[in-house]
Amino acid sequence: MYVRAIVAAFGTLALKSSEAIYLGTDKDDEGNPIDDNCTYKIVGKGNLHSRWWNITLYRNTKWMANELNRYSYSKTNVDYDKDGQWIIRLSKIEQQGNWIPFDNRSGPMSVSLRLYNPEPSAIADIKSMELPEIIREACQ
Amino acid sequence: MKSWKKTLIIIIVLAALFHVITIAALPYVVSGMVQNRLLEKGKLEKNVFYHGAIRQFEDVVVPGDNPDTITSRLVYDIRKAPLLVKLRIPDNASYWSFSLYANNLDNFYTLNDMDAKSKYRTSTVNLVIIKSKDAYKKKPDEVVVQSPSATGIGIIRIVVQDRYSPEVREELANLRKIQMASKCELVKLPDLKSPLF
Repeated sequence: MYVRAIVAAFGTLALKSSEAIYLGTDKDDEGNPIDDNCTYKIVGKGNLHSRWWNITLYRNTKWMANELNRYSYSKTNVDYDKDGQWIIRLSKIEQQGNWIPFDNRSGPMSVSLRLYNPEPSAIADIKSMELPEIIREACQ
Repeated sequence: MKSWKKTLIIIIVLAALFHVITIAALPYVVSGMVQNRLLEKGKLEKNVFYHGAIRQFEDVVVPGDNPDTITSRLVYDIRKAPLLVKLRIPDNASYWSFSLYANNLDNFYTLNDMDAKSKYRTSTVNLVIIKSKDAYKKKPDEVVVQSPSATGIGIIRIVVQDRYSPEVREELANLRKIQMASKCELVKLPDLKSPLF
């Protein structure tokens, strides 16, 4: 009953985990809140144990209102290196490669990862899987 | 002293009851709000698909919306008759699915493109939503799904491979064509009053 109430209140019309796993954070890998005065790199590799994935940056639960109208990267449009690794940078400062710019608004930010048709091992225990890291690089 | 204890027990029991009822009712309340929002406060019809285009920043109203999908929404009402949903499934999608949510927002059914093709070996699936425990004589090409409630929500989700690509117009045109080919209609039931029946 509690799970159903929580899902109704916060995860309206979500899919079951066999269809999609939704992961989100408002902190970097050291546990600090995402700060738009800093540059972050999100580092991952390959298919992330799923058929398709995307990563979206939000402010106040809405897309980032940046000048590029760039809100996300996905399995199909991220640039990979020759080893299948990819890096997405979050920053106000222009970056080479995969880059989601922060906007000039204020408010809490979060990063969401969606995994569509995750592998059975990911459905069974997502915490044990190798997931992308969010690493703070430099701050202004 | 006894009266004080009795009052306290009554208050605790009432508080516990209120808590349980609130938690149990929350999904139904949220579902009503969501259905109303999907029908744009009663301006749109039930049992009709509304096929949404790719959303721009100004269009986003749902918290945590996914920018890389297009969606079709449906508020169904099968109190009078079952609903036939004719689903057109893209051949080379990154992901496509049709999901059904009961009026307590339970996701009781989902069909994705891979399962549709492996189970039914077709790019068109005729799915009939009926009330649970209702009898329905299905046709050979139909898939019958029992809904735990007489009203609910259906959502088609289609992943757009690259909304930022210069070629996205072509991809979207193809996906939109497929998306809009999905339709639904109430099933005409035999007239029980008819002497011919």
